[in-house]
Amino acid sequence: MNQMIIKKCVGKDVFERMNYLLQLSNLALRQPGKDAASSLYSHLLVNVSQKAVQRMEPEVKRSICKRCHTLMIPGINSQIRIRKKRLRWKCNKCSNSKLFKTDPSHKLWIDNKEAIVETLRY
Amino acid sequence: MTLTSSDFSATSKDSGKVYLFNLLKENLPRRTQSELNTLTDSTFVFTTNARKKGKVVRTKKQFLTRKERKKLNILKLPKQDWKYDELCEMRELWKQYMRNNLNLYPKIPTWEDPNWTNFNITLAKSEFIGAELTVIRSKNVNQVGMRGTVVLETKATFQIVTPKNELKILVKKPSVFTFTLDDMKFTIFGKYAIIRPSERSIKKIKTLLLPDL
Repeated sequence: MNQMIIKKCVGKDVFERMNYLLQLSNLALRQPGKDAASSLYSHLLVNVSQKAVQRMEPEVKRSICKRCHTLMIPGINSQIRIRKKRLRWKCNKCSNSKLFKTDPSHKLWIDNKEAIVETLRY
Repeated sequence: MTLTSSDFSATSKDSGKVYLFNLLKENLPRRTQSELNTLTDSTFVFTTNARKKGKVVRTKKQFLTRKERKKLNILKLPKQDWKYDELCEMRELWKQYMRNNLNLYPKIPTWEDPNWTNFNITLAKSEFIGAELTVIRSKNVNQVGMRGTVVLETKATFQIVTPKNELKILVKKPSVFTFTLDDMKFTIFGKYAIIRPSERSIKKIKTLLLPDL
């Protein structure tokens, strides 16, 4: 290893925990009869990120139901349709739906080149 | 008593009262006529002076209450249909996560290290779902020696699945737990772990606590 002083990453343990919880929730959903456990883990994930003020990536955030906090995986747990030129995610648990734009020119901030200033490896 | 302002706008205040009394005398039934004299001192509030009810705009609520969570079966875990062997993937994942989180390799920290307190704090803030817990000591004698993987953690309890495929709920306060990671052994004093799992990652943790012997 180089003898550089490594900067300490802020909130690394929280990110580690959130990542682990997402994996757990994904794992529990694939096994039969554990959807309650899965939604409890993802509920904890949302709560942890809210308490510690460490944000999720938009794609991860969008895959969690806004109402009942279950992880939505299309085909297993949720439905994705295009209705009225808009993308609709429907949660099968609480039947709440989210709408997204389908406009190809619409871009998230994180996809821009200016958004990434520096990448650090820990 | 409702009167519109158009009936009343031209006249002054006193003449308005007289008008109102006359109107009441004409219209009220006879048995209530005697009560009219008691009304002389009272002030009248007309509908125009009264506040208009604003339209209550209801926003669509996005969160679920505890009752609704219970209805959808996502508040509590089911008691049956647990298999210890199915959870082995979860245990492997947890070991990976802990090794990453504690920065164990290439060097395992000892108590002489300068960042020993840091190590302890990250340990206390980490996740316990997926760990293999055993109860060493407890005031509840039946629970001593119980072993299983943690499936859920709440403020006061650990919920574990034993090798006999049962879901057991262990109370944190009167008991002491251990878990092993590779060749290290950790103990948790349940008395000091009574925090909501979501709040644990931001809570300040005291470095020195008296163990309950």
